[in-house]
Amino acid sequence: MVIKMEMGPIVQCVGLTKTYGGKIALNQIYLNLERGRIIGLLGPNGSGKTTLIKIMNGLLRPTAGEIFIGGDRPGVETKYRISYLPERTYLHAGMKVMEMVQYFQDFYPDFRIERAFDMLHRLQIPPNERLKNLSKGTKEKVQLILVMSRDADLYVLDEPIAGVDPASRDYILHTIVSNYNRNASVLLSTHLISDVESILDEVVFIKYGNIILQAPAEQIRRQEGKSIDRFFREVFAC
Amino acid sequence: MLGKLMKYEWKATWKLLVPLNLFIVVMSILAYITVQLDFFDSDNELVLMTGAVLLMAYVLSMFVISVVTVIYLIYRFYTSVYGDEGYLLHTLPVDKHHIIIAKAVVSASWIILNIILIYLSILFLFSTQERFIETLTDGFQFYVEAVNSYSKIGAFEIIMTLVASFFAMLARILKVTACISLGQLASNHKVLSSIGFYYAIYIVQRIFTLFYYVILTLINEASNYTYYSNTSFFGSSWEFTLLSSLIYCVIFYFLTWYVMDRKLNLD
Repeated sequence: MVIKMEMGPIVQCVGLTKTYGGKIALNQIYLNLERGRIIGLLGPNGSGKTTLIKIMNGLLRPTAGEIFIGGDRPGVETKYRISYLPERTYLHAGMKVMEMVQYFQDFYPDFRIERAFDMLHRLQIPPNERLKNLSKGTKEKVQLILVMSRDADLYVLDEPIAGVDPASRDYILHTIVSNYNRNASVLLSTHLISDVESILDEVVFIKYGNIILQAPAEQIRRQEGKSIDRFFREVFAC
Repeated sequence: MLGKLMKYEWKATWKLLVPLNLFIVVMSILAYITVQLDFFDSDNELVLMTGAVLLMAYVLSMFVISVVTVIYLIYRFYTSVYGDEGYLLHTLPVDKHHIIIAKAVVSASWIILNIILIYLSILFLFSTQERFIETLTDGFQFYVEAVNSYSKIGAFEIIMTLVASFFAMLARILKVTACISLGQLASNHKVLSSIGFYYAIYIVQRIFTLFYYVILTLINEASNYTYYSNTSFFGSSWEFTLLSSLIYCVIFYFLTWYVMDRKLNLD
């Protein structure tokens, strides 16, 4: 049964399956993600993380099964609820940082422009600079600022710290923790587990398109007696 | 949201296309000066050569600018819809129909502007050449009289020819968007697949046109009546151009929407 209410799970996957030709990317996934949590979606390369994220954002259609975002199938309505940071640079290089801020404000009613300028100022990113003149890492910071300046119900962040220097990672993680709406959830996909583990409330392990574990981060540490990073290395050892 | 999409599509395209179109104006003025100063009546070889180079540059620039405009619009559609920028475009809370309409309207507007500027440029260039104006006027009169000899041509036919031409252009734009979209269905070599789809569709369209004329000829022969429609500037009847273009617009629009909405698979 699909729960369609403000307090229900923000994401529900019901037998979600995606195949590419004969290759299974997601294999009948059943997954509920609750509100108000920072969730780590962890798995090795090719495990199905990005496929799941793309389906959530309406960038892919499932082969079978269904997915609900706040009770609705992916569509225009769910795009108001999700703030998505893809693993690649999606900004129009010819635009200035300020123009991108304006762009987000034009399309997303929940965008908080003062929050965006505040973060740009803290990270010393000049708003009048053209994106093509920024380094790859700075562009990623700009994207993260834009995404975190929304009051969304779900933030989906695909490898948000992969391209930035270690010194900036702490600030970015701090930005994520301090800027997301408390009733919202953050789904964070990364392979840099040790860097993010301190902020995770919950962990989802995905392997060969199957969810093999979903548990609170603290419970894993207590039961296994080791860090999530160490546990991940054991589970996914080659 | 449609208005906002169109606003940003304009903003993204004007940075290249406004200077390109301004270049038409500059080249027109230079070519006009060349014609006005009678470079070609001079005995000086250098002056003659300069005049020839300027006029050649003018003709070439008109051609190059038209081609660059079309290639840029195709490139823009491809990168913004199916490239990295597509990750932003397709996660905006906007209807896919609005995306297609915004892209098609802005592309059509640039192409129309380009065509109008080139026509105006040629008229401007030869505006003081009485012989040219006479030839042009005579030619048009001859055309109208020739057509009127078997069928009446009036304001309605001219307007409908322009309307048909507009939809023919729109169909060509949507054909490109459909082919780029269909190319995305391939796992590899998506651009090559798009080109393949373009030629496959082109062949189908030619066969469709051929069938139309074969059937028309058979009907004419059967009724022993020679049918001539009001010939459009493109050599076929505006009725056929309009009807076929509308059908193509619907088909290509649907194909673009179908891939964008149902089969989207960004790399």
